[in-house]
Amino acid sequence: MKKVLIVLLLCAAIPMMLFAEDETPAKVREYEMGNQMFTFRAGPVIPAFFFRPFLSSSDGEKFLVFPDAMHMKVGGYGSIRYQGFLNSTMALGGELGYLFAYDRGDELFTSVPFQAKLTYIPLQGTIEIPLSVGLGFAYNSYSGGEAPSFLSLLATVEAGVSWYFRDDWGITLGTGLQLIPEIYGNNHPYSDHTTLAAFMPITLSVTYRNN
Amino acid sequence: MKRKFKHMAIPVLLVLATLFIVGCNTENEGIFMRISESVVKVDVGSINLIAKVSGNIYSYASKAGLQVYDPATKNWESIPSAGVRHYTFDGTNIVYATEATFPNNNTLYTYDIDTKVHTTWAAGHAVKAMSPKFNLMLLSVAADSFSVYSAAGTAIGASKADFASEFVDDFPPNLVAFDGSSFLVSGNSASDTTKYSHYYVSGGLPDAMTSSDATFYDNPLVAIGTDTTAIVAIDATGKVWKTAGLLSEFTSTTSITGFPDRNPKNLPYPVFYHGSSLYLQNGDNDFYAVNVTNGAVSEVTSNFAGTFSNIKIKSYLVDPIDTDLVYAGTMENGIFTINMGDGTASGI
Repeated sequence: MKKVLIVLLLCAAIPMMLFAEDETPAKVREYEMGNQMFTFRAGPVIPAFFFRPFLSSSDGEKFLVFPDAMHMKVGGYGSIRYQGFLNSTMALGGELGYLFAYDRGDELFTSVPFQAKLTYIPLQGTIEIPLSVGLGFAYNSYSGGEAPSFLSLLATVEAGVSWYFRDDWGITLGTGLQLIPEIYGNNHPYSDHTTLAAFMPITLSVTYRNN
Repeated sequence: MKRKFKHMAIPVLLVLATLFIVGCNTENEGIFMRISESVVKVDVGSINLIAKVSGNIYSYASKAGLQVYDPATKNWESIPSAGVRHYTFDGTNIVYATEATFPNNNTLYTYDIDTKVHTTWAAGHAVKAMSPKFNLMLLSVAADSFSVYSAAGTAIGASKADFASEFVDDFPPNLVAFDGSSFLVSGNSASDTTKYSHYYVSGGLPDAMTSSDATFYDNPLVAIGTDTTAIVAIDATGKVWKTAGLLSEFTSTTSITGFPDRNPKNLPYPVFYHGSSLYLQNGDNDFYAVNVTNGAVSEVTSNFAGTFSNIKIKSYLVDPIDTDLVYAGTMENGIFTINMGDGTASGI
């Protein structure tokens, strides 16, 4: 009787062990130094705010927010990005983009940001959460008046959620802030027009990664 | 490792410092400031103001033709007309002339703003220019001969000034009015068409405007102002000329910076007169005041100058009742009012 019970237990256990092997989760891809990512991004950009710290209250509001006070409409942003991994969670690279938005008078503001970008990916797998900071500069132009333009510093912060539908390909929904300062020196007649402008791209990205 | 980091830090700091310096915008008053001051475009085009009557503003808009605008309802209404080339206002009627190829006469019409009836003039005239606000028109009356008239009903009245040999048909002069009785006619000289002759009229015969400075004759005059004692004129390059007394010799004072190049360059420049000064906007949208008494030029820092930093102005109209109120017809943004009392401006 004992032998029969042992055989029955083995008959039950062996298939379970075999099925248990089949249910082992697929191996999660792990990044390592030398891995690369190519990303194409596009989406609308919301002008978030203008902050004019030195403007006197009689000349206008220091803090203007979207949509009415800024006199800007929703625009667009597109970019390409290349990054290489420094270790299993950090990737460093560069991004070249193009941002545009029209003002209330239908004059065009454009910005060409180029920046170094550091991305930290704390959650990895089929679903990933990339967090990025960028530093660089942007060439900004405006079609109104005498069509002024200037080169500025640029700082960005971003967060997103990625889904890798294939091992090498994924899509990311992300957002963040692009900060563009327009700085006037103390002796400039328009020094109080110094402005920190913030734009919020909401982008859908396609990423290809390899190792 | 520490040493490597030190070596890295220096170039990184240098790059950041360079970026900070190049990031300092020094060329204009601020892109983001301009954006925050931008205004909605009005789809009638540039607006040349003609008259304000009973609360309505009459104008010629480049995209929409003759218009009447009601600021209370913000409604634009077209005045039916086609091919309008010149226009003025006689107090009751908008008088307008259609296109014509010289030497053919232009057909003239009268539009009664009360009855809204158009009347065709019996006689046509070769119209060279009209002053929209001051009921003045410059006609070619014979070969190389020009005269200034006012509309009187559906005909021209008596001549206000005649120029029988001063100008030529190939380069017709232009009419620059200060008001209904004071104006100048400026154009290429008949004796030397590379130079310009200028004549001032104020209720009498035309008086030649003269200067010992030869450059006075190098460009047409495009704006004029007078306090009835002294005269100030501005030429097509933005140079300001003044007299010490009526029709004494003109001397140059200074030039208005950023004065735009225009084609044709003898078109009257939009200005308005207030408190002994002519006010105008230059090509960079900055406002300047030209003191008519001494010719001094100063940049306007009133609040309204900031309002127009992103808006180009096509014409001005001083309110016929409240002279502190000035209407500004813009190139793309509709009509604004300037309150010269408190120095503010706003769209209407």
